Amino acid sequence: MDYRFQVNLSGIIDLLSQHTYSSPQVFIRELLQNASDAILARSFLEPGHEGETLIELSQDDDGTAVLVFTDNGIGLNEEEIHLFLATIGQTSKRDESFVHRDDFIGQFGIGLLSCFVVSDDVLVITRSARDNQQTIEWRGRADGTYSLTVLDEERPPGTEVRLRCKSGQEEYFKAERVQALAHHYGSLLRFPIRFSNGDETVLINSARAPWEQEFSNLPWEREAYMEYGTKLFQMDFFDFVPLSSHTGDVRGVAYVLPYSPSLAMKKTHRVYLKHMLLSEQTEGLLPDWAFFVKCVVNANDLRPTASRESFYEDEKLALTRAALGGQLRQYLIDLSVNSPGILRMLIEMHHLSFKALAVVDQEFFRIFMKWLPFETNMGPVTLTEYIEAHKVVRYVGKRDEFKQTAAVAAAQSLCVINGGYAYDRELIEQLPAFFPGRQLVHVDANKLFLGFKNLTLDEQTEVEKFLALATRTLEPFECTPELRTFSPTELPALYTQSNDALFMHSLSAGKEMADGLWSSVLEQMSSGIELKTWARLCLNYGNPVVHRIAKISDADMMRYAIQLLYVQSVLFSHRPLNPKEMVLLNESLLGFIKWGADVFEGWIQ
Amino acid sequence: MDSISEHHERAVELIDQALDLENGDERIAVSEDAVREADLSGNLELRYRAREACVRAQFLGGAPEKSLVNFSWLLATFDKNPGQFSEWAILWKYKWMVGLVSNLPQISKAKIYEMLDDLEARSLKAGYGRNAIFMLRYRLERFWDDKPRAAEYFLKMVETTTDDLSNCPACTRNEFASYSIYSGDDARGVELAQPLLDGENKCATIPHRTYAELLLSMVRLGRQQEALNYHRAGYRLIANNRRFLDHVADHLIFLALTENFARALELFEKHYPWTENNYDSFDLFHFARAAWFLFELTSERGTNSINLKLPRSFSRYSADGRYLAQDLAEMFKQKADDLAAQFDARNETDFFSRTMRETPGLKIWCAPFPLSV
Repeated sequence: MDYRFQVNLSGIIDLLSQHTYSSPQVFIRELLQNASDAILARSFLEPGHEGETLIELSQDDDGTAVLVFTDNGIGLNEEEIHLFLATIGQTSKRDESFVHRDDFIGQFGIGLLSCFVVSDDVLVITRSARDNQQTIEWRGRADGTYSLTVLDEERPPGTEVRLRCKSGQEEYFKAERVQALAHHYGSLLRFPIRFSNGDETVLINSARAPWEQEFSNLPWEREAYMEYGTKLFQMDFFDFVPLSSHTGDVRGVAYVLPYSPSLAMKKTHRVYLKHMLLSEQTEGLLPDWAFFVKCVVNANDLRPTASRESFYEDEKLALTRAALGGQLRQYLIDLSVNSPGILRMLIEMHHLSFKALAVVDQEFFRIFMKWLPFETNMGPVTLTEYIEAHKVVRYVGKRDEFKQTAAVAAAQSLCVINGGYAYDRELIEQLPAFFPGRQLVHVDANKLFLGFKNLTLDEQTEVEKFLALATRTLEPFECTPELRTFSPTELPALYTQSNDALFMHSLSAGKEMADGLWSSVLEQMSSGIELKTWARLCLNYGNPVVHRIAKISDADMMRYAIQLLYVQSVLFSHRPLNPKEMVLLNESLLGFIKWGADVFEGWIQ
Repeated sequence: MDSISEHHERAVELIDQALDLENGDERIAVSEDAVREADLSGNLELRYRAREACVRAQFLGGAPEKSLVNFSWLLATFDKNPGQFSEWAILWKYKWMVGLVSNLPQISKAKIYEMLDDLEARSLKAGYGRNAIFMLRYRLERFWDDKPRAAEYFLKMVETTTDDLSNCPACTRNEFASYSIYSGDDARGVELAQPLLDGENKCATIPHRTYAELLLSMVRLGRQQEALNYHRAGYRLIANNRRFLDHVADHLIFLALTENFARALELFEKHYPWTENNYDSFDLFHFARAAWFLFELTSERGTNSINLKLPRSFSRYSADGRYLAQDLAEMFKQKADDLAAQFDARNETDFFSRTMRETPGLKIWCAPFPLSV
């Protein structure tokens, strides 16, 4: 007797191939999943039952390729078949279908649907291992009809699914492809998966994951783990760390990446769920700091999200993550005790991971303080080295500030740490907790001025005219000049701006460039910012050029010189010039050229 | 003097380097360096590309006010060189900017409408529909709580077809959920957001924002236990990016409402520094409001003296790290009140000050749900 689906099956298949299943190839995953569930269910019924699966590739009379998946699992009875069909009917409301994913029958129905993506009709022959059941044949067609027949045939319990290649899907019926996919999804399944192509039968999942093996010595263990990683990820890793967590029932291995990973890249892992491949791109398995490894793990007791790309964030996952993170942390600590040479190499590639952990883990920070590299204006140091050499910890929080202050600080024999790299500032600011009483000084250029020498009274008289002219010249640029003596004497002047001033500056530069609407937007923006301090130009009276300029008698020349010193110092501070300053630069350069030409002419005459 | 080709090379290198970094301060600094080097190279295309990277880094990394300036440069340059740069890319960034300016109370209402009109005219001229514009108009009216107009534009948005200027599917779905909550239907909002939490659609800000936006609804629905998982999942996603400061505030309020005070103070300590040198008044408002709520609840529960590690620049800095919760509550309330007044003056509504008045009322939802991990 023929029945009819209450839903449009081809519509559902379209929907499935677009959403739930990213590629037609997942029918192999789904069939393996069905086999795995069925075998598990039977082993509950008959402890000691040895499950197995066979995938056979053959041809129909008309030459169409045929794939047959056979398992010796629990099988289905007639009632259960009606149940899974009901599940198929519900798949139009896909949210509900996932409610059923935990139960085997619902799962079976959904899994079977994926077969219609590659086959126009699907034949299922099954016999339940429960009681004394009949053999049942179910034939479903993509047009939405199916038939159910009781076969008068004795066969062992289990299920056979037969697919005929749909036109255009030949790719998925090629021997190499089927074998590769079965291996891809099922290599860790614990029952044998065999593949037969006529005369030849091969075992697909012969190799077991290293964490499921016993090793009699360490070198063998290492070799097995490292080889497994190379095969799986096509990469020679630096090292490996076995992982396990009681919560979530997780076992696996983390491989240490042989290069520094990009921080912007997603950190994903290869995850098996109950020995079936869940995803190669699972996120969120490890703590955020652990981006120096790539993992492959099997989890038996974590709940994946529908996208399969991560697990549900719950207490179980949080505990699992903490356990796995703890093992990676312990691995690093063990290296510091047993293999400092290896640790050094590892830190060279992965110090960012170390620092990310140290930020949230004081004890770890304490241990690795003597290893982690930091940049200073006197070369790289570790924090331990720094603390031993300097009573006061001086640092800047941003890369820009470091550029501005590095040379000046060095000339005054002040060693300043650059906190502008990821995690560095946060770590430096934690130092007082480890070294009570140690002073922590956030250096900015303005503070460096405090160490500059004031001019003597005589000198102040000498520069009176110069300083007055500089004040007038720089006023339109909201900059206050001052004269001091400081090292290095090669540096004629130092320009500094507060954050607010810097931002105001960029706003005014933007206003000049923008059109009507945007110019007024920027104008309104700047009206909301209260500018507390002007920029400062600290001229170095110890610099021979400045010293001479201060005594030039020609007022124009003096002004040009002040303008050039200003522009040069602005550039030295790594701030771009605005249009007004470009004009200033041109004006003073031309002034100098004209003056040079006049002098040169004077010589000739 | 460095040669032009050296600047060119360095700019290209820095742009690449910025791509390799996570959104945050370092990425911003590197992309700003790229702009400097590109400017020195004199190559217009490179200067444009570097500023595009910079706008992205600044906008996505929590320095939106800076992105405003760079964007205005991009737009002016785009207009002066017809056909040379991607129209879609500039319009997309324009959308960011329009979304951003409502957070800055110094930008007048008239100016924001003017920007929207400008963006609308440009989009239509470029052949796009109005879907994205309706979305922005709805967000704007909702921002100052003009409910009828927000509803009107939301409906218009739903009725127009989407195009390449429309928000991505994840953001759109999130907006639907968020709109339900805004309209008072917590249960519907949570239901609509579920696929986002399942990872069905995602993007650079979803489900990061989703988790935070659902917390209060979950509390009102009495689903605190599940919400603890939302806190766990959502906070991890936003913990290291300044642009999510307003959502950190959502987590703070949630932690206070579930009486996870130790964890809340930990978050406060970590994120307080984000309020320094921060020009985003909207973020500052939400953080100050959450801090006020947290400290007030802390002191009401009998813990007035607390230990906090705060930077020296904190206006009430105490060297031994001891603070009175009541003092802090007052200080942050003052701060939030000031900002609310600025917003309400600009918006010509009382939404922000009303939000402040209604905040203590959240306490009726307060009940202990301790976080185990």
